[in-house]
Amino acid sequence: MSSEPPAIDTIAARVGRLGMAALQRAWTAARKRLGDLGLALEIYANDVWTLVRTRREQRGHEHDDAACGAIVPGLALEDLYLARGCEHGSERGWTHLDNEYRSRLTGLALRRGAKGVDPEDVTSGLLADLALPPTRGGARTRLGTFGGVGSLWAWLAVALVRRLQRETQKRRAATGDLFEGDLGVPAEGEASTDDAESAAALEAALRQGWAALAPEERCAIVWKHRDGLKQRRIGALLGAAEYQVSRWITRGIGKLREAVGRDLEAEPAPEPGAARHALFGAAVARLLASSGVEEVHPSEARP
Amino acid sequence: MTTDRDMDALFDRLEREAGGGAPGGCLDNDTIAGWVEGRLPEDELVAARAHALACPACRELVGATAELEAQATATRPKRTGRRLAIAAAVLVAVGGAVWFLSSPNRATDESLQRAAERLAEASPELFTDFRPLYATERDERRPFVERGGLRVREPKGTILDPAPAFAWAPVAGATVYRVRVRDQEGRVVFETEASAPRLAYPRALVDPLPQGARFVVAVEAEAPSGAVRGSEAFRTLEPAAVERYRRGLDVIRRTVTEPERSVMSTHWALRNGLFAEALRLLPEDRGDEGPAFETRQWLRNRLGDDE
Repeated sequence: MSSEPPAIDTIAARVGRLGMAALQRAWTAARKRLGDLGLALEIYANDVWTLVRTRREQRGHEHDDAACGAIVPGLALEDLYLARGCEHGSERGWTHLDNEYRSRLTGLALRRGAKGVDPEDVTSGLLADLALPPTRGGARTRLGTFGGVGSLWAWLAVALVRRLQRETQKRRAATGDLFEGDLGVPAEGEASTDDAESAAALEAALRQGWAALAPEERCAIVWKHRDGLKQRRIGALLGAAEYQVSRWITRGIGKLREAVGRDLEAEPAPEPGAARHALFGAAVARLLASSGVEEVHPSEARP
Repeated sequence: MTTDRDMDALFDRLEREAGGGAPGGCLDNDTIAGWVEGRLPEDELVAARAHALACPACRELVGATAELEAQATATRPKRTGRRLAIAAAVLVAVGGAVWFLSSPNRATDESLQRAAERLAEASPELFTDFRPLYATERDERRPFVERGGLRVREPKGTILDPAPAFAWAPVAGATVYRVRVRDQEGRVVFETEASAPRLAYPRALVDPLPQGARFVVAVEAEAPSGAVRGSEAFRTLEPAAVERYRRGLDVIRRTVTEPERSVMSTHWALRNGLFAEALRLLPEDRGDEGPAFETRQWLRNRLGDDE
């Protein structure tokens, strides 16, 4: 961002009447709520304009003042006031950011975090890192890359989820995961059993079935069964009706059931040494049982 | 026993092994945030959907974040100009269906409680102790005490606007109404006359009322049967309370969607003592049951309008 912003009239001419009115309203309201973060209207307006223009350019759009101006009123403008204030070094802004979002992010980390990940540590790390320069440049701080397309809260939530994913992957690499590695090969010291071999075959069949699903089927199943989204919400995200989502899930689970090819609930109880493999099979059975699709009759199962 | 962690591990494994190969680069935080909140421009939304369908990593990010934004809609980005045009088109096109789906009467106690929890999460300093009106509270009725033979309708109780309008029940045969407002010391703030049973605040006569103070409005009408009088006490909200109330409304607007939004705004107003404001916030509805209907009845009772 240039240190000398254009005059407010120049910015207003670029942004347009509606965009400028939205910026002024948001700047006034945010200033009233958060206090003076040392962010003059022309700096704030120019920053927002630059963010919009840069984002469009990154997506391959030609420069178009009118198109950029039309985007401005729909942005999270008050959140951008806070983010830009912090980007320009406002201590008050950083303090407010911490006060407003720390406890909420910690609560989110607690709900979303994997076992062994300390939610307060993760949140502290995230908030601290926001003041660091971004790896790809383009701003003084990582918070400065917030573009206001969604709210600051949602943006921070995404950042937190990414961080939790990285923590989980690090922990998984260090300690090993329940299903890590080839289930067909028993862990050192663990006796090979029929259950381990059948679990390996099950896994291979499931993997094939999963790869054969349509993208919408895979996405809908994951969002419903892993992330707990309601079918209506999935439909809203994908631009589909709820009945369509239901159909994707039912069809997808049906295909997986066919790929697996047997009634898992009729499996014999696992041997103690094959607990890991049995848990895999049980997880698959639970997934296949959850859709309400008719169970495969044992007599129809493949040998 | 299979746990959720086992299921997560199962999906993680399947997703990892299915691999990527998604069109374009992975989604950035702004795109995901905008998408789950329904604020992404149409062209970016199409591209984001196509990418997430093919990219397990982005799919996981969207799924995890969308769980938090369960109330966001993904059908339209929130752009003022487009929103107005689209709202008009939708209203024309689907009229009754839109009314039905967004009717405040669709709000249930359960959905209001969930909305209250989201508000407490979004703004704990405002909403930690806030509760929507419970069903048992909504059932309470108080007898209305009419002071004098003339019923003053507005203002009543605590008001937001320090320059309120005044309204009262018409008196048969009356052609002139005398309106007097006194402050809590008994001093006359203003006196004026009206030819109809309503009066806009006489800004030409007097400044807006001080905030955080108590007043009494008395109305007298000369009717063929004799003088008829009525009075009502009211108070203006303190500036800090006004600010707090307005901030709360803003949080509700950003955090809650219909059908809960108008009901929550109403409950927020009434928990701040702003009964008339609360009634104004609750749109008219043809429903005759549910929290929205019961709240309307409760407010009318408190305002003495449930004749």
